[in-house]
Parts: sequence; structure tokens; C-alpha cells
Amino acid sequence: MTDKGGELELLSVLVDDEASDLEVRQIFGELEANHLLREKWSRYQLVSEVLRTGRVSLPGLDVSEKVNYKLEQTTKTALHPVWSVAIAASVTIAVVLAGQQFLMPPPIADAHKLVSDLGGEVVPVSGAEPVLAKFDKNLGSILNAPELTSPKTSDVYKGITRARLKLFGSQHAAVAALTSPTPFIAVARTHQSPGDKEVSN
Amino acid sequence: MIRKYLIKQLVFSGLFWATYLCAQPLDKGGSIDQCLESPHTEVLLERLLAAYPSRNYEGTVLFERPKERHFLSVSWPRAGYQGELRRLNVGGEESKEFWPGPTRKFAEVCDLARAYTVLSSEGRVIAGRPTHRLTFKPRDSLRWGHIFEMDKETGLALAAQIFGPNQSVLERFEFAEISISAESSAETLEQSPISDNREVIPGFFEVKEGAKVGIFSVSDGFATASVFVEPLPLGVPLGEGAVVEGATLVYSRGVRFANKSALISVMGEVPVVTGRLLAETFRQALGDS
Repeated sequence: MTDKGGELELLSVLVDDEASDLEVRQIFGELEANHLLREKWSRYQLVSEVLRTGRVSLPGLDVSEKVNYKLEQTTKTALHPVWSVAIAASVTIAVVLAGQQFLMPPPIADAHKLVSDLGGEVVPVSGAEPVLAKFDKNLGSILNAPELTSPKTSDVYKGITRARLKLFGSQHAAVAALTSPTPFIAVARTHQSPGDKEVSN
Repeated sequence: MIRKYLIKQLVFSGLFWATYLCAQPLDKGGSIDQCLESPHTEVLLERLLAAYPSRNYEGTVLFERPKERHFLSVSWPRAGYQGELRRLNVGGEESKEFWPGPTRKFAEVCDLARAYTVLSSEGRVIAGRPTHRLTFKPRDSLRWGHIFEMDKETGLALAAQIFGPNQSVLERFEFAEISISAESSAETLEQSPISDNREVIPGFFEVKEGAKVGIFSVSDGFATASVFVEPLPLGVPLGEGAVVEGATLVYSRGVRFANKSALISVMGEVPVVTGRLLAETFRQALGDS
């Protein structure tokens, strides 16, 4: 710790920009601990400004104390750590539960109306994404094959499918009857109607 | 300090377990309580699956498809553990047809819950009997939707319809009159084999294979499709075609594999896309054999 005269000499050297690194560290340490020295430093800066620019900034403006005071007050009013954790946990649980509610389907007021409002073949269901058929990479090329677009081929296969309906209907009905709560309908389907609907390709 | 530490640990633990439990998925093939969200719907579906063939019944059915209508007389059971069907308006003559009695449950609740979303509501009065309505909305485009109206007292399906895209009704039936007697003495059915069998295409499991007669059947618990493989007739070019009668599809496709040709036919209450997918699956299997 230097004496008062030595501090002022160091301060003067610093203002003149002639201080060595050691002297700079020394005087900054003194400035941090001695507010009278800080005030003198402030006056030196004010004089320097006047000499250089001919103007003066607000001489009385010193926000450092107010800032320090504010910081101390903010620290005192911070939440207790336990409360902070409790609030964070509550918010997290609320977000998880709200997210689940958001993903749940809306309550069904009228199943009849719901069925009639459905559109398209794929029904979006919460928690269960529609399962897409895994088509083989070659399937697309087969469906687009030139022979499938031939009208002659199309007519041939219409006749083939009608014949298979009659040929295999009973066999399929016997199996379908074992996998239905209404087995008699599987048998009833085997009756052939003259106006079956053809699906063109 | 210790108390504050313990409180902090308690809060963290609670947060962890709440997040963990909320994120648990449904177990595949677990208990009924885990397959459907509504316990009431679960009970109704279980009753629908168990009602047939545990009840003796006899009645008249109206069966409708686009451009056709049939009146049928049905009764269960008849001699030989079979059901009997008579067509009342076919050419003015009655003809008897039979369906086999089941030896196993055709589906379990969890099997159906994988393929359909199941909803329950109040049904109509059918043949003088109040009903519950169960709606099965398909979870993908490989199957049609189903609606069953089941007798409140016995669980028997008194009316049903199959609907396709845009809620178009593909076929429906309804009992005009029915008499249901006490529970039959049929043996308790074994569990459905569906969920234990091989999944051939998404949601459809193997239910029957008969290599000698060239038939292979798959089902999702409600919809059944049978695949027939035969040599491609001479002179028939490679190609595909389909016929749809009500909800029943017949799809045929001529394929070539390993210097051979075959005709693969798919028949079932499924959309065309499912028929194509099954045919392609079998074409690949033939090519690999």
C-alpha cells in the first residue's frame, strides 16, 4: 500500500498515459479500494475532457452507485431456490398434461354425425398414425406397365375376375364365415348378381 | 437445510415419475383395459365377439347391396354344428346353404383395436329389440369401416353395414324379425389365433393356408381376404383387373416369375389397394420360391 503522495503520483502518470503495466495494476487496485482517489480520478478526466474538447459532460452524473444499489436489491428479492424448483416442476407437469389433452381427439357428441362427417379413406387417430401400405419398389412400375393400359387386356381380365368370383366364392365364404360375428352374410355374398361393378384399371 | 434438500429431491422425483408415466405407450396384446380407452366400449365389443355362437337364434334378414336386395332366413345351430341359410326370393324357390360353426374366437379386442378405432353409441330399435351401436373406423386405407348394432340383452349383431370412402354404404343387413333362445351348450371357444400368426401385410394376419388347393387367407379380425394362385391360362397376357360387388372385391393379376406365369386372384371384403398389395406380396413370394 503506497502512501498518499505515491498514489497521486501514480494517478498522474496514468492520466498522462505513461504508466507501466505494473503501475497500472497497482493504481487500479488503489482505485477500487479508495473512493476519494476515484473522485480525484473523475476530476482529472473532467479536466482532460475540457482541455481536449472545450466541452464538458454532465459532471455530476455518476450511475455506478445507483447500479450497485439496484443489483443488491435485486439479489435480496430473488426467489428461494426451493420455490424456483417447485414452480419449474409445476410448469413442466402442466405442459405434459396439456400436451396430452391437445393430442387427444375431441369428445364425440354424436357417433352418427361423426361417421357422416368423415371424409376420405384414412382416418386420423390420435396416438396411432395411419399405417401406410409398404409397397414394393417395383409395384409402381407394374401398375404403370403398358400392358395394363391396353383395353384388350382390360377386357380379358374383367372376364377372368368374374369367372373367379363364381369359381372361388364358396371357398372364400367358408373362411370368411369363421372370421365374422355375422357368418351368414359371408354365405349370402356368394350369390351372383348380373350387374356387378367393374373396376377399370 | 436438510429439510430443504429433501423437499427439493421430492419435487424432482415427482417430476421424473410424472413424465415417465405419461409417456408410457400402450402394450401390444395387453389387457383389454389397455387396448380401448373406453371401458364401456370394451365391454360391448367383448360381448359382440362372444355372442356368436353362444346363442341360438332364428330369423329373417334383409341383405342389401347396390342394385340388389335379398331376403334370407337364417338359423343357428343346425345339425352338425352348422348354420343354415335359405334364400327366400331367389327364382321363387328356396335353397338351403350352410356355414360352418367356429372352433376358435375369430378375433380379440386388442386385435381389432390395432386395425380400427372403436366407438360406441346408442343404436336403433331393430326387430323390436333395443341395440348398442359399435362403429369401427379404419386406421388406414387397407380396410373398410364397419358398423354393428348389437342386441342390448344378448350381444348378437342385429344389423351391420360396411362403409367405404365418403361414408358410402357398400352393403348392409338387418334382421326384420328374430327369436333368440337361451344360451346354447356350445363349447367355450379357444382364443383367436390372429395375433399369434404371421402378419402378411399391415394389419392382416394369416388365418388359413391350404397349399393343395392353392388358397391362402388373411384377416384383420373383421375383414377377410383369400388369395388363390393358379397357372396363367394360355393366351392370357400379363395384366390386372378387378370386380367389386358390394363390399366384395375380386382382383386378378397375371404375373411372370422365374420363367413361369401365374394368375393370382384376391377375393375379400377389402379395397382394391389391399388386393393389389396382397397380389404383389404373393408374386414376390413366388419369385423367391
